[in-house]
Amino acid sequence: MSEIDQKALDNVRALQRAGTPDLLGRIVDLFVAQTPEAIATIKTSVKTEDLDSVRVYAHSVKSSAAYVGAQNFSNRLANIEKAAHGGDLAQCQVLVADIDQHAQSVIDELLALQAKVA
Amino acid sequence: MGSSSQVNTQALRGEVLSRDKPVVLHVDDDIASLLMAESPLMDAGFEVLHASDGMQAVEQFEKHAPDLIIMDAVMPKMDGFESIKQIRSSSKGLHTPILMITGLDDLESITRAYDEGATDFITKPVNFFILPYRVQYMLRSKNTADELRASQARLDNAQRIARLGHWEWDIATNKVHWSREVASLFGFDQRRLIGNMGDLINKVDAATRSDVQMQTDLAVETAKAFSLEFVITGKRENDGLSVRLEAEPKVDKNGRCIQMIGTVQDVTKSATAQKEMHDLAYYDLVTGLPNRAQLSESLTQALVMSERLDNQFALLFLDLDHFKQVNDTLGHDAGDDLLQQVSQRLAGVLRESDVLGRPAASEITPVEIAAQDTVARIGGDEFVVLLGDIHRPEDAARVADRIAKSISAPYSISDVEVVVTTTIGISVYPGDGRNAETLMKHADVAMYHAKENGRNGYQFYSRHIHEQALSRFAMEKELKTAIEEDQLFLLYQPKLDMKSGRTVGVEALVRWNHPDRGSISPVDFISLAEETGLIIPLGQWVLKESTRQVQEWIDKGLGTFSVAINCSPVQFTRGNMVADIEEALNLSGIDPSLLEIELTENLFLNNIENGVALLNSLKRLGVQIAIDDFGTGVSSLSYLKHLPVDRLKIDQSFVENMHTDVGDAAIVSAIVTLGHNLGLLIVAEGVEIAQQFEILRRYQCNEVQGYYFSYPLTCAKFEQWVHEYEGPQFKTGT
Repeated sequence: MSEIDQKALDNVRALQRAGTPDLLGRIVDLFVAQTPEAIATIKTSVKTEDLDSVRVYAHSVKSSAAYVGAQNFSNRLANIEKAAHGGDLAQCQVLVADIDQHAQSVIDELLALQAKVA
Repeated sequence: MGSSSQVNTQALRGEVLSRDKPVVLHVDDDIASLLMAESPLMDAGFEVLHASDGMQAVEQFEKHAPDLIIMDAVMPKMDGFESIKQIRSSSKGLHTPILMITGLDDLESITRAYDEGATDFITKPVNFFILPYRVQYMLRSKNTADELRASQARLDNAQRIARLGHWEWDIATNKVHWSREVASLFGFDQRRLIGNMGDLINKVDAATRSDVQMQTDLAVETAKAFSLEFVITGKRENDGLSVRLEAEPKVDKNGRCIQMIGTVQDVTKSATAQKEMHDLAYYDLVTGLPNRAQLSESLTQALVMSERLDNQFALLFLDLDHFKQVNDTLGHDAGDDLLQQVSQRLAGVLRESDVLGRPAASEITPVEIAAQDTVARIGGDEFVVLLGDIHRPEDAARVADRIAKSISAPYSISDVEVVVTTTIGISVYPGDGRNAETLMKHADVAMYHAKENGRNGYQFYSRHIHEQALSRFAMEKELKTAIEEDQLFLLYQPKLDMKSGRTVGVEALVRWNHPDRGSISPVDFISLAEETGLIIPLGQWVLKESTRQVQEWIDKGLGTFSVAINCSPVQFTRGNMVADIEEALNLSGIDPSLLEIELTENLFLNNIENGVALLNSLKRLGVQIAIDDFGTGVSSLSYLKHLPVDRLKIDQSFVENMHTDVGDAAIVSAIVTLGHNLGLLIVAEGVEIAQQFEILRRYQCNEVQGYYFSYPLTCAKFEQWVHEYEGPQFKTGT
């Protein structure tokens, strides 16, 4: 099952302005570049029980994931954000358990799509 | 986020490239959002500026003063709420529109966003196609609000400069909202911009306050616009400000005034300037007197007033005899000095007690005299005096006489004693003319006649008026002398009791023993005495002399007689009759009941309440009161029961014909019956023949007097009469 909703990517492509750098490419690049570090920060913060940090970074990744069409991943981060906001450390621990793999599969799929277009 | 965020900042727009377009500061820690929003915003014509956290947003805002901010709520370092708070606390960030980006249905964030000062919010995920429209809409609203604020600021400034304030008065609640400028003009606390109409009206100077109150009340009642000018009384700088208040009503569907909306403007300066201009146009520079233009206005006014009120007024035209010589020998400055001194004397003659205060706003200080009069210099050495309200031409003669005397007293001009005289011509409205030109011409002509007859005098235009005025004026002077020099004396007509035939009293009748003309009847001088007010000293003399005489008769053992004296309404209205009577009683020491005050009905016609009050105060002195000439007044009967009177004196005209005219006899009979039923004594005067006496006896009239018994007698004759009289009339008949 695909992690990426093509329609969301079409939306980004529609925002492309003639004569400017490839917008979707830059968005994907940003996501690919930023997400692993953000996810790592989230995991560390869960360990150190810094729920405020968990909430802010989950919020951030949640938005960018949604823009690149990774709705499932975005929903997961929304749940983490919610749990962090509610002070539910146990739930955060459950939700971040295998989040690296989830992030990686989103990134892989995005990079594959990029390669295909190129 | 370490190295990767460093990479990405290269994609951000940290500088403003063009200020020709509205600048939008987009703040989001999610670089993707910034990138995706960039194109749509730029396509819509905006210059885009980026910030990736709240703190950077504040920096960018301070540096570039963007026209609008799109602000993400949740960000690391400093979140959007704190960022808004800081931006709003800076002076240029007070009105910048801020669009907050919040999570979907995150009510808490939405509420907080508004609390911190966000203008609007949009939820994530943001629809970047719609975003520019939202931004455009917000900018349009902001521009409208800016214009409104600017317009309000301009209006405030304009009103401040014009010293113009506005107010709204809600009639139902009587609450008035006013602007700062109103507060400033009226001297109210600047922080209190609400009150009631009374607060404003209390600041109007006392002289016009009730008028302002009345006019505002009237305007509300009739729902009419109104405009008033008045002076404010207050502390320090507010005191004496002239303000103009304008108001327009707002009405409900029934046409009733529900609100008054208006302005107040400080017009002190324009009022002063207007007055100055007026003074220059209407006052003579040398003397400060009104000039020909002002005289012409006053004259027009006098004509209107006199026509309406059926009054007379007089125009005195005068010039200075030999003024030219003073000018030629002592110089023009001396001439001006003389004119000024003459002006002061003229004003002095006319000035009455109620001098109007008037601030000297200009170099000219107008000379003040009584409101209805005018002294004007109409050129050279020519002056005109307008006496706005005279009762008789003699009044003008008296003023002319005083002017001539005043002017002819010596002047000191440049240490030289100078004597000038004046000749005065007088025209009187309406006899000598009904318009300004005719009256002026006739006064001028009269002045030349006066000069022909010798200078330093006055002359009326009309010979008839001149002679009449002169003779009456002369008589007035003579009567004054007569009172002062004891040329008056009293005659006494006996009054007899019908039943016993005994002399019970006398009526005192005044006569004037004129040194040249002999005895003069009151008919010839009482009306003059009333008009001139001489009736008051005359009345005092009669009171003292008659009561003294009554006491003398008692002392001599001649008998105890009451004395009736006639009183004029003028003595009550212009004098203090009650005090005069009290003084006479005290001086003579007679029993008050021996003094009988005869009054006529017309004293009560205008004001029955005052009449009753007066009679009550007379009764408290213990004197007797008789109504004289009873039966001729129009409202004889209804008021009679209210009056504390003792006697009715039947008018002579009924007595005169009662033996031949059954109607008159019936009236006399009715008066007697009426009087008796009210417990009053009835006196008949003018009894001349036996038939009249017999009828009166039959009607049971109480007291009689007349030629049938005795003429009015001098004191000596009366004393003799008392000794000799045996009452033959009462012994005849039944």
